[in-house]
Amino acid sequence: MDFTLPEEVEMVRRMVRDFVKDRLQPLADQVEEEDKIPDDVLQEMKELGFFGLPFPEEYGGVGVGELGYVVALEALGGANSAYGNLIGAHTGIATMSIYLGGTEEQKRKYLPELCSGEKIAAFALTEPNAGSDAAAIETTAVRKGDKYILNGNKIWITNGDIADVVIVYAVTDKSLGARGGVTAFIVEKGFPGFSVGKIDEKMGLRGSHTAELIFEDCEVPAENVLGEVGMGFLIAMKALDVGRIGLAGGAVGGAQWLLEQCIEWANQRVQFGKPIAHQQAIQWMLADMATEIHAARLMTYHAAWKLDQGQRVSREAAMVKLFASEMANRVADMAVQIHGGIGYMKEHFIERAYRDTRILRIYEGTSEIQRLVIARDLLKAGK
Amino acid sequence: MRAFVCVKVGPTRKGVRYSRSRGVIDSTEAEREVSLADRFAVQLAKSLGPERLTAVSWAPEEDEALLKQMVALGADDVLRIATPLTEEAAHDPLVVAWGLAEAIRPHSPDVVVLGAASIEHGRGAVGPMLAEYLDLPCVTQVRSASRTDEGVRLECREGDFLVTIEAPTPLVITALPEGVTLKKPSMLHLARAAKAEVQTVEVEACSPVLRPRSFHTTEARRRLRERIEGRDVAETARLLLSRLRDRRVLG
Ligand SMILES: Cc1cc2nc3c(=O)[nH]c(=O)nc-3n(C[C@H](O)[C@H](O)[C@H](O)COP(=O)(O)OP(=O)(O)OC[C@H]3O[C@@H](n4cnc5c(N)ncnc54)[C@H](O)[C@@H]3O)c2cc1C
Repeated sequence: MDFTLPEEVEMVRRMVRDFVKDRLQPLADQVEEEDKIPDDVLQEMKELGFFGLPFPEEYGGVGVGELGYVVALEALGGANSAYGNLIGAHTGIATMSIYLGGTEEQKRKYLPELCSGEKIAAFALTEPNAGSDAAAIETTAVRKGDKYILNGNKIWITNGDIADVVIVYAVTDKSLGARGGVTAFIVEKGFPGFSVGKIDEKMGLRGSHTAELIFEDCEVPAENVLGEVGMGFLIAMKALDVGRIGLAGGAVGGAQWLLEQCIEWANQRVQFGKPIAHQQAIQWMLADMATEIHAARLMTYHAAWKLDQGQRVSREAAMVKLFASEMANRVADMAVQIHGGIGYMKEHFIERAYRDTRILRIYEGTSEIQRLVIARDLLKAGK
Repeated sequence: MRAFVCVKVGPTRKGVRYSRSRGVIDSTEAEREVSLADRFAVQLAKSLGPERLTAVSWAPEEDEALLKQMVALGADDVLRIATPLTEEAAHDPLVVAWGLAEAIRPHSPDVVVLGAASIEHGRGAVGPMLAEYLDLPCVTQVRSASRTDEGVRLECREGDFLVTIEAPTPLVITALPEGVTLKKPSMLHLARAAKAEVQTVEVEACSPVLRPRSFHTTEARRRLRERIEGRDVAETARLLLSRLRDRRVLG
């Protein structure tokens, strides 16, 4: 067993780490205040290849696989969550849907521009009455000649307001249920009947936007059915499997960064005549944080590696998403504790990190749903 | 156009320590990198649009991963000079120039670009020496370069002025990283670079004229080293001058 990262992945890690330190961290407050990633930074990220990391070079990707993608998201952990969120939704689930479920023609048509970041993608599954129960979606798609007509609303769609391409999941045959009755569509900005509704005010994640997407007799050419009719739910679940591993990478990176901030603070902050790092209570928190981060990192790398070997990873993806997101929340909580009052103040980045971390347990499947997925798989397999 | 760019891997400031007890600067634990000046040289060479650009370096095998990064910056391939000479020899600009010339000459280069700062602390000495060995003209302090029908157009620093020179190829250029921003390689280029192969060229031994004791008798050289330390800078300077006079270095 060899735990060393492949050289190309190591190079990507170093490059992202330096980019975060030199370019993104100095802009942290600006992104938080303006609720926007600066245009020039976005442009740089496109040029550096942030948008197509896991995909093969033949489709315009960087070709570093899921492991390279996960390691890059981990290295992004020291920056505002907005960046990882943008890429997670664009690459991890939206573009991934096309890569996993698209026809060769669709991949050749869409992937190069999505991998270069020239076009931004979003993944639209959630609806007002269908969150955890994604199979309950109500958006409909009815075939009319060489088009499908989509009607319905999607909510809380990351990148929804900036996306040029949206993967929309809709019911094409209610009688067949989710497996067979749901189809994925590639909807482009500008298709008649497609509009962006409300942009949400959130607890955190400033710089990353979620929006409502409205489909009112939206006309989608039949050739924009992603893969085959009726395969939508399967594509969504497969894409979410991959997305969850990437999300775990981001959680590990964010937690690692918090740990480093805590070590620095604990060495600096003097109470009772000595740095608080000398107190065993603080040391134990640091040790717990580091241990949990280490475990989550190994789990995440393993799941990514397994995926790169072409193996099935539904159970592992759910496990790493569950563990890494819960771990990141425990770490964020301890980070506030170690910082004391200053960690609760708006002026301090720990307060921001605490708010940003909370979402990890909710989107791309709540912790409860991950447990459901794991348990179902366990009971089916008997081990 | 067949182009070469000469790069050197050296320690970064991070991890360099001064050992008081041994009186030496210890860079064995330091992180290593290709200097900004040499990375700029790659960028400059690439801006000439050569059909093939080879990065060449006199470096130990351990530095191959760093050398591969030159592919991410625009080099098509990497040539590492392996030599039985001592590491001490690699600190001498003349020896380095000789080794580079041995490695590059068989390929009949059109352009050879070097960075300004390496072993000779920013004085850009290796370039002109290499030009001598290759019997080529040399243009120094070049800030930017482009290709023309006859050769190259170079913008160079001359004191407070910038001058533009049109020069025929083949030639040697030393690059001056002044007021430039280095383009970051994309992750695609980094990933490609990681998979690149480093070719090795053996440079057997030093040229006869360059084979004086100093490069081989490192022990003897080491014995000649002496640490001069006064109570303050002025006294140290006085001691140093008198020692140099003793040894007839100064008249
Ligand atoms: C910032 C943000 C970004 C998002 N981005 C996207 C996006 O890009 N695309 C997209 O499609 N969606 C997106 N979502 C939606 C997200 O995926 C859903 O919020 C999530 O799946 C949970 O659904 P819900 O909010 O409706 O909660 P609900 O499903 O209503 O769940 C409420 C609670 O009940 C629990 N629960 C539900 N069912 C069960 C059960 N069977 N057993 C046990 N407990 C259960 C849940 O775990 C949760 O604790 C985003 C959401 C947010 C907040």
